[in-house]
Amino acid sequence: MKIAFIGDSFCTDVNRYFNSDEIKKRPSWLSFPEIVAQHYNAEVIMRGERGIALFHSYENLLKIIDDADYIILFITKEFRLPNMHRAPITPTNHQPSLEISKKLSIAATHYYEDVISLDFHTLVHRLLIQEIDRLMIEKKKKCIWFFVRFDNFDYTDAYQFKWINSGPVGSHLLDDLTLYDLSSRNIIDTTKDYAVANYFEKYDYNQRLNHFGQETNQKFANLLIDRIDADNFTPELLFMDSYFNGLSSWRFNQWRDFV
Amino acid sequence: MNTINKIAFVGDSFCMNAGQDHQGGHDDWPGIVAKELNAEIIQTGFGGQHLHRAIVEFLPKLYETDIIVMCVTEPFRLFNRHDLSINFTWVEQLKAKAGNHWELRHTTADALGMPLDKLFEVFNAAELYYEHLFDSDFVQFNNISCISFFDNLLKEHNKKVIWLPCFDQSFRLPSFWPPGKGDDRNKSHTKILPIINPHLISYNYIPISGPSGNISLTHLSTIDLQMSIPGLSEDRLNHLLKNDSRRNHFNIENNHKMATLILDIIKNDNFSPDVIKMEDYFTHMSLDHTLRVRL
Repeated sequence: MKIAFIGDSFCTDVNRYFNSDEIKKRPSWLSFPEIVAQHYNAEVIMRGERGIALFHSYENLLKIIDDADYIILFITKEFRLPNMHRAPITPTNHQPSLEISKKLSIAATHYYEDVISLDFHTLVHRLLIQEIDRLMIEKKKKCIWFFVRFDNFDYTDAYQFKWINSGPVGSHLLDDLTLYDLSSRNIIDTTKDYAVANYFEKYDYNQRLNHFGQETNQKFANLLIDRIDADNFTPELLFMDSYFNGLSSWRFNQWRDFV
Repeated sequence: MNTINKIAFVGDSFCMNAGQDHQGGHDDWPGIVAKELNAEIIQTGFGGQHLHRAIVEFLPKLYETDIIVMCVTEPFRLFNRHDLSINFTWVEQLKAKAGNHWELRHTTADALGMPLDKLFEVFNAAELYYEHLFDSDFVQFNNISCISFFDNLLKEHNKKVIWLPCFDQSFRLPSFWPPGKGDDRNKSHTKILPIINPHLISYNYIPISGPSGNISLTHLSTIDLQMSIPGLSEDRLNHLLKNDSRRNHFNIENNHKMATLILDIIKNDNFSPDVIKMEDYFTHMSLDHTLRVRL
C-alpha cells in the first residue's frame, strides 16, 4: 500500500527515522502518518512541506498521483505565495531564514505590502481546490480532505465547499484542532489568547509533531485508519468530534455543517 | 441570424479601441463589428489588463450579453489590488525611464487616484516579484484555470463566444500538465484538451464553449508591422511593438480583416468549438511557418 500526505506542516513530520539530523531534538513517539503507515505496513510516498503554498502541494500531488493508493489532503491557507524557489512564504512569516534568503524576504515583504490582492488569492485558491477535486475524481483516487484555515473566506462562503465531490472532508479546521490539542492538555487557555502562530513557535519543535501532541496524533491516525478500513470515501462530512471529545463545543470554529 | 443587441469584447489592448473616439470613423475591428450588427458594445479591452480582471468585470453582464469576443492575454501579468496593468514591459520601461509606460506614468497614477510615489513603490515591488518570486508554472496554471472556469461557465449558459489568443502563451498549459504518465498524458481531459503543436511541442488548452483562433494576434500584429514598414531591424521592431500606436495593434486593413472574420462567424451562427483558421482571412500574409496554438 502507498499513502501520500499532501500539504504543509500539518503533515510534514513523516519518516523522520530516515533522517537522523532531523530528529535529534524531536519527540520519539510516532506521528499520525507514521502510525498509519506502520498499521498497514505501507509506504509513505509524499509528505507535507512546511509553509508552502497550496500550488506547490498540488505540484507534489501530480508527482505521485498515479502511484498513490490513498491520498490525504491538507489544504493550507490562501495567502501563501507560490514562488520559483518553492520557499515557505506566508503573510506573517517571510523573514530571512535557512529557507528564505534576504533578497527573497524583501521581495515577499514588498509583494504583501504593495501588490497583493486578497480577492485574487482567494479566487486562485478556490480554482486550485476545484482542480484538485476534479483530478481526484478523474483518477478515481481514494482521498480524504482536511482544511487548515481560511484567511479570507467567511464561514457562509466556506459552506459552499460542499462542492468537494471526491472524498470525505474533515468537519473542523486543523488550526482549531491544534489549539484544542494545547487546550485539552491545559497548556493554553484559548478563551484568552487565540494567536495560533505564538503557540506553533513556542511548543512545536520539542513537544509536538505536525502541530499535534502525542495523543492527538494517535487519535488522528485512528480517524484515518477507521475510514480506510471502512473503505468509505463518500464525499460527506467526516465528523472529527467523535475522536476529539469536546471539539464540537468550539462552535465558532466549525466551518461546515451538513446537519 | 438572431438579433444581436449587446456585444462584449473581453480582454486587453487587442480589443481596446472600439470606435468611440476615433475621428476617422469605425476603423477598428470591434467598432466595425458593432456598427455592422447595430449592437451596443458593453465592454472593451484595456491595455495590459490581467485576464482575471477582464473576466471579473464581465461577469455581472453575462446574462445580458448576446455575443462575447474573448481576447485572451498572456499569463505573465501581475495581478494587483490597484488595477494597474503590470507586465514585463511595464516594469522594463519604468526601470529604463523610457517608452510609453514611462511617458504615461502621471496619467496612469492620476487615473487610479494614486500618488506618483506610490506608483513607484508598486513598480519596485513588481520588479522584485519578477526577479525573485515569479513562478511561470504557477501563473500559467492560474491563467488556464481561469480560462477553464470561464469557458465552462459560458458553455453552461449557452453563450455565443469567440476565443482569440493574443499571445502564443495565451492557452499554454504549465509544463507539468496534463498530469500522469505515458499514454495518460495524451488522453483528453473533460475540461483540459491537450494537443501537440506541430511547430513547437507543447500543450494548449482548447476552449469548449466556442471557436478559437489558431494563430496568436501578436504574430499577426508583428507581420502587419513588418509589412507596413519593410526592412525593420529586430530592435526597431521590438521598440515599435512595445510602443504601439496602431488601433488594437493593427493597421486599418487588418482591422477590417479581423472584423470580417468575427462577422462571418456571427452571421453564419457558427459557434461550435472548432478551429478558426486565421490564415483564411489574412491571406496577404505569409503564415505557413507561423506557430499554431491549435490545429
